[in-house]
Amino acid sequence: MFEHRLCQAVANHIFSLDQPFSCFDFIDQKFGSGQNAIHRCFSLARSFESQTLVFEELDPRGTGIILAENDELKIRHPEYKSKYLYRLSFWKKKFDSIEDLTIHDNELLVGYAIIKNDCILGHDAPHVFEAVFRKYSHKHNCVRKGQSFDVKVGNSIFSTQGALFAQQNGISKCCAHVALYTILCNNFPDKEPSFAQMTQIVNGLNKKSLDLNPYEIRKILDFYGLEYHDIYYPSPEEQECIGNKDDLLIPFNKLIYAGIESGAGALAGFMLSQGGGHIIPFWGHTFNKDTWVSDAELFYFKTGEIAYAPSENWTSSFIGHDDNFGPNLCVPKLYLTKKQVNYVVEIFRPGVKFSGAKAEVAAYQLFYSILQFTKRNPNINKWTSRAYLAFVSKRIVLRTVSLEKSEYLESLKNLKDWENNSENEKIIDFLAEYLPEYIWLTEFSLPQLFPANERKIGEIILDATQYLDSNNSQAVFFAARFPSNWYFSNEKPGTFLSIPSTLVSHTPNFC
Amino acid sequence: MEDNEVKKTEHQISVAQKLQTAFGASAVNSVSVEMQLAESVSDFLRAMDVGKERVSKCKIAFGD
Repeated sequence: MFEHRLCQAVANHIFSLDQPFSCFDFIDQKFGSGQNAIHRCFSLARSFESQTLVFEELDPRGTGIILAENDELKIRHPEYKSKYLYRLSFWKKKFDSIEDLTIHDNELLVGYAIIKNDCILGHDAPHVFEAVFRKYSHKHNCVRKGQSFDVKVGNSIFSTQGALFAQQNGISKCCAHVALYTILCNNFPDKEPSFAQMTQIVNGLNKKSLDLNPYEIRKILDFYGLEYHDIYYPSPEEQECIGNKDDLLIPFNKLIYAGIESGAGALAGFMLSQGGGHIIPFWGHTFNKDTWVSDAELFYFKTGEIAYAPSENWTSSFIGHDDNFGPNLCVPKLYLTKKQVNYVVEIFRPGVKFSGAKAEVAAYQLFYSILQFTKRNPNINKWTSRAYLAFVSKRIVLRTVSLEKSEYLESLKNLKDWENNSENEKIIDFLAEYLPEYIWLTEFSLPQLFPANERKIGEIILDATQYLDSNNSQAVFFAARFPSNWYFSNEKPGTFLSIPSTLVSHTPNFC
Repeated sequence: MEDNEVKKTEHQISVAQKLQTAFGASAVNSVSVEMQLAESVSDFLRAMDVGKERVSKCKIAFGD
């Protein structure tokens, strides 16, 4: 597996990236002009102050999934040739020889890119087959789960962490294929998705067009076992024929954000002004703790009688790839408008059975219902009281993430409230035995507490391993942790088993 | 009752018993909470499902 990343090079060249080395001249000479994605890779390398480029020549016939892609190209285009296959790696270390690299230099690897040339009649161009670059360590950049990818450089295997990027070649794979490749590689680092396999899944080479429609996108996700929730937003003309438009009021940002916060990612498809459709993957977001929302209506997420401040209010941009421009791009939320986005896919983390957007609304019901119960207590905890006041003014903040059981337990073991109390170990032991393997955790907080101080008042836990029945949302309730009290779901709907919590005030958010 | 429902009920009964065993019967209170907002929640969850069903009718494709 992963032969394309781990194959031995046939030759290597070392370049110092110090001035006067010009990345622009290098790219023009090696790859020609107009190579935005390749330029972006070099720009990222520069931004991390890379000092050395290792430029390896691989057998152009390819190995592993690249060989499979080339075999498919030969069937489509018998004259197909691969002129070259290069593996580039960028290092925060100066060296002159490949032998100077050892496995101890792993942390100095900034990223790598595999660049492939495809040549058929009328088309002779390079593209980035795949690339992995670290994300900026800026505190405002939030990426839930970074995957590690092994790559061979010289005679050693190194590991780099990031969200895998891929570029279309326009002759056997398009934007949709490479967006899916990103999602699949980032969710299944131990599997080997391939473009040749995607072709087979969507009816092989009999398919006349290269593009993928949502039905085909679903087929590929289903084949690899990823669960998801997707929504189609019709054009204004199509909407005139639709009766019930309630689903169109669901902000697409909500699904993108939920996919990102789950760690699995999201896809957003939109129509271009010049015609045609483009789809890109998202896997991170920014977090601006000082964001101010002037319009109260924009501050709430409102549906029916439900109204709260979602944590995505403090997100100004989504982080993703655009294969036309390169990896690790910040796309301002406001640039994606309702008119443009036609299709959105929230990917579920493997093991999770329902949408985070759904989870948050179901969690709100549990939060609201228990809050109504607690306010009758004359000795109500002051932080629960504050949560109630925030709720009444529709300013309660909710933030929803999907977690593995072990992640939540580790977090709870280390959790301390403002008075430095830890949670009762018996509760942790109890949860270790009974908590579902995957949960949706909805943290609730105040606008003055959540963004600037990154702290919360409590949380709602839903069982993410079950499917959520629209007519029986309570079936997935597991527990709620309020200051001073836990409420565990009991067998009879609407009844809970309450036990004391030793956490009596606010605590840090989960990550 | 389906097997899954039997197992779930057994699990939930055992959760109550384990809580009482771990914390003492006096520490565990059974509370009745009137579940609110059922209609709004159901409406939203159904709307999400309608949006998902609509995907099968879409005619767009992504390839640029």
